Amino acid sequence: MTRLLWTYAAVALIGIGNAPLGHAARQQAPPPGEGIYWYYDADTALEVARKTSRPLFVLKIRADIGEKPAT
Amino acid sequence: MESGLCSSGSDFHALSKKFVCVRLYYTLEGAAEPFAKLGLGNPARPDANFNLGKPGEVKRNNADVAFLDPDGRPINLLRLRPDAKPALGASSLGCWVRDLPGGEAVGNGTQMVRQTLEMMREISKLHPGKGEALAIPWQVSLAHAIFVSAWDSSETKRGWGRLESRRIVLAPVREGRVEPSLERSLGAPEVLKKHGHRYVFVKADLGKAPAEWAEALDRAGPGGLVLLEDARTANGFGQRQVGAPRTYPKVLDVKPGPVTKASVLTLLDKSAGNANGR
Repeated sequence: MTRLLWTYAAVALIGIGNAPLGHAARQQAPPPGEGIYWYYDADTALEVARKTSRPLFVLKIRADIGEKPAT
Repeated sequence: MESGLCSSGSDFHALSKKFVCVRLYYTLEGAAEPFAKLGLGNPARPDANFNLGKPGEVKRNNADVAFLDPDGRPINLLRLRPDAKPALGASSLGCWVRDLPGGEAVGNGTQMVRQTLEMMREISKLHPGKGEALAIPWQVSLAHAIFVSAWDSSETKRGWGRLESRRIVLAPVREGRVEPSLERSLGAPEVLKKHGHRYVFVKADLGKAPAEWAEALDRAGPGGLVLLEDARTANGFGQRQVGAPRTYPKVLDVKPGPVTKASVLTLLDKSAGNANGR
């Protein structure tokens, strides 16, 4: 049960960044530049953080939470 | 639940602009190493399953969030500043949202989201940031690239408004390097601002690429690029599908090198995730 709840958390943390404001918004693609810009490589992220003086937000997810059943 | 996520979601989207956001599926190939570089230790230790933590061990979580200051030092969330002498691997309490009061016992997604957003507000006030800079968001491995493409594209079909079907840009690598002219073209601010979040960027070693892409990569040459369809499945690439045959996304287009910023923009404009109503 606990694992299920954390699965929801993982989905929520990705989903919240991408959540629509209403039903109509769900039908539309976000305008260019409006999506979440994610980094994956540590060196690249650290370099951007130093250049922009921005802090880093690191989302850690166990992959099998997001895995879909084999098809 | 949906309305709660949506109201929180708009906050997260706005707040994410004040951070350099990193997302890693840590059990996939190449995705655990960045945590060490970020001073966050092994994401799967001391115990891979937080439900099985032994007395005296710091429990870790399947999904969690940490913050680093702009100098790359993990922020102790209990004090909102980096530790003077950080524990090796940041395995001490305080570096993950789950370490916040209430986080250990609850295992509750709603609480974690609330605490994450609260931390984002507080930390962004302490580190307001300046200027703009984007870099090519290279994936850490082919498996991670496939997974991100499959996950984002799948969620898009389920209706999450700010995710997009993400096709994959394969950049040929020779002797460990992407051709500088290709890197310059892909890394141009105009290209990244428009497409950095709409595609998955991954380096493909010309000598080790799967047979399915060999001809396309050969045609592209070291200074060109290959565009793949979005991954429809993570079969064969994920932790639970070891032994399943790998399903490689199909080649959509090939741009032989040398490419220019303009030719890259044209290609990516044409093929962006939702541009054609996919």
